[in-house]
Amino acid sequence: MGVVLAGCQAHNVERTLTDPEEFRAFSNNKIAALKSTSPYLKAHMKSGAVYVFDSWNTDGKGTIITGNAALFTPLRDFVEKGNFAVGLDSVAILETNVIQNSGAAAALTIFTGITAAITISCIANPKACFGSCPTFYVSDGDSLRLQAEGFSSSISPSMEATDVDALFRARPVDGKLSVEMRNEALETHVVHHVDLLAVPRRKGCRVFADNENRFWESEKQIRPLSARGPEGDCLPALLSLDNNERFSKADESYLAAKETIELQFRTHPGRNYGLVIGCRQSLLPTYLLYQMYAYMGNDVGHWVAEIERKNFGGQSDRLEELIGGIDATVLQTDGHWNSIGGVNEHGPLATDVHLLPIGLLSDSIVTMQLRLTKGAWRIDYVALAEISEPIAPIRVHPYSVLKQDKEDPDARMKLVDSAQHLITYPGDRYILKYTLPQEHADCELFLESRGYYLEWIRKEWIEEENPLLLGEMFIAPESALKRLAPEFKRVEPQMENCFWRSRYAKP
Amino acid sequence: MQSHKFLSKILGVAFCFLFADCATTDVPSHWLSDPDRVSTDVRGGWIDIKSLQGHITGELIAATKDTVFVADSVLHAVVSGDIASARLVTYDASSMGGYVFLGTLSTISNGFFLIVTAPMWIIGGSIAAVSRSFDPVIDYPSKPLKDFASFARYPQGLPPGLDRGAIQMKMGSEQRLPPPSQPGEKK
Repeated sequence: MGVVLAGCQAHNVERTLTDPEEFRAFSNNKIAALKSTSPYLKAHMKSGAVYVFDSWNTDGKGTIITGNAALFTPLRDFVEKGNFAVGLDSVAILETNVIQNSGAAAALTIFTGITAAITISCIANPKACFGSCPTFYVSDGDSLRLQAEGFSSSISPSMEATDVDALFRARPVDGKLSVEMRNEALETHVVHHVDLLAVPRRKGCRVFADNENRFWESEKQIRPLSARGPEGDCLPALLSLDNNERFSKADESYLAAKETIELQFRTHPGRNYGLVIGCRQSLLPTYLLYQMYAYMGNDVGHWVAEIERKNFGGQSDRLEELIGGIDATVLQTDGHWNSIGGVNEHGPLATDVHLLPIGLLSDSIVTMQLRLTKGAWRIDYVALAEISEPIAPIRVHPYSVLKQDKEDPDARMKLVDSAQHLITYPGDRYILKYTLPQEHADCELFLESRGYYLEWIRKEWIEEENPLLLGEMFIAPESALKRLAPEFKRVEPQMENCFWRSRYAKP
Repeated sequence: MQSHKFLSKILGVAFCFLFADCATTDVPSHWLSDPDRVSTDVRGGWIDIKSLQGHITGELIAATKDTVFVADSVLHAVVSGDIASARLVTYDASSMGGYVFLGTLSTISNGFFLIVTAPMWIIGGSIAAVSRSFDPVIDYPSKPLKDFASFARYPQGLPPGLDRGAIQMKMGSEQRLPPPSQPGEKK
């Protein structure tokens, strides 16, 4: 990089010729400016000889140039160097040269700066480097879009879990769907299966999954009348699933400090409803996980094994519980707030859409509250869905699997055989192909993935090894969340950008 | 294997950009001064003329209203009206191709973001390198011949009384004088 920067110090030359008569008329200021930009002055004599002054002055009348110069003959043989006084009467023309920076070199300097900034930002902020589970890219009819991330909380074999994500914006083509599964982090992914769940739906209806993986058809989704957070009106960000997210910054003194968003909906009394929330985690939980690994340092294997053996009891979950999810409550006619559950799916990458069933509502105006940790969640979409009965999904296995664009029957076998796992490494990319059920005209699509992943410990993390602070995260997580608040606030503004920039891709 | 193919493609594209349209001249290696030394160089720039008299290259001695004087081992007086094209190179703008190449390689450290930074270097860097190669170049007929005079050995024109037979191209310390161009010779 230094070599490239050095190369960017390229110069241009702007040469000016001045007639002696014109030179005589120069003001003192103009001559001073000329000397500062062009320290050398060439006096081309009428005889053809030339003086090259490296320091020069003019007399008060502007008729003589004096200074230290090298004299060359008309045939450009060197004569001597010394102090000369040259009368302007014998000068044919005066030459100055201003050295400037090249515009092309300036462009390379900017490129170098951009490249260096990207490299340095990840080195300086290793806990913001891309992580968290397999990513799934599906076409939305226009381009390939990150639509799901699998089993984000499954950071060890004993935590292997099943994750269902809505492919809310997937657009199959001719009854087929391609899902691109990538390993874009410094992680080993151990994938048990990736199946498509197709839920038949009526025309114009949408289907939403609840926390128990029941699928509810909804004929109508109602937008909020109002949405107010601590910052004021946040309704525009919540009206549609469009990546315009409602987000707040973490608290400056306690990373588990809460905030509340109040929502109002107009409903038809006597109908069955569920609250739809489209959201993803912020990088706060990722930061805390990586900080925990950093404190484990070289002993990370030992500590993860202890967690595997559940030797910490419930201690290892307390910090996660303090950060928590998005808890939703409904205001009752008697003034009490009734809980309808919450969203707590891990993962900062892909926005997932969740349904919290409410049941029958009796008022025409319903007030709800979402309670969440400040700076921990990005909410893209909120709506009230009229729902009826759960619908059973149709499970579809991939009929074909391609690795790096080449058919890979072995990988497909591992994803279909329940006794096997497919192991992927940083930069791996698989395309999974599915055929949708022919007997149904239209289906809502969900992706069910199961597995776990192992984080690769970064060199930068090990330097922070500290068993005492690790113990604090387990035993006194409130204290740890207060202590870590200033450090997190320092990196919070750059985390999102740095995180996405640091995805790992094989060239 | 995949990475090798990708790298080959990147380098291929880079070389196409780098060498597609850079300014080309016959100037001998190290003959021109770099920009920082032009102020003390008492020679003219390097000129390459295609005229009815043939292909003439050498040090630009003077450019007057009707004649351009060029010296190799002898002085050539080329009538302006006979000149079909001419290229004057005023200083040595060292090639940026190597820096663009290194810059492109350095994007390997950008991980996924290489998808953006590598093309930025290849395309933007190559444009910058081509642009840089034209920085010291003045071309006729796109610029008038009078613009060449500033970078002649005698910007004021040939000094009266000067023995024209004694004027030769002035060499740098590392150069040898090339054979003189023959009138009518096509190079």
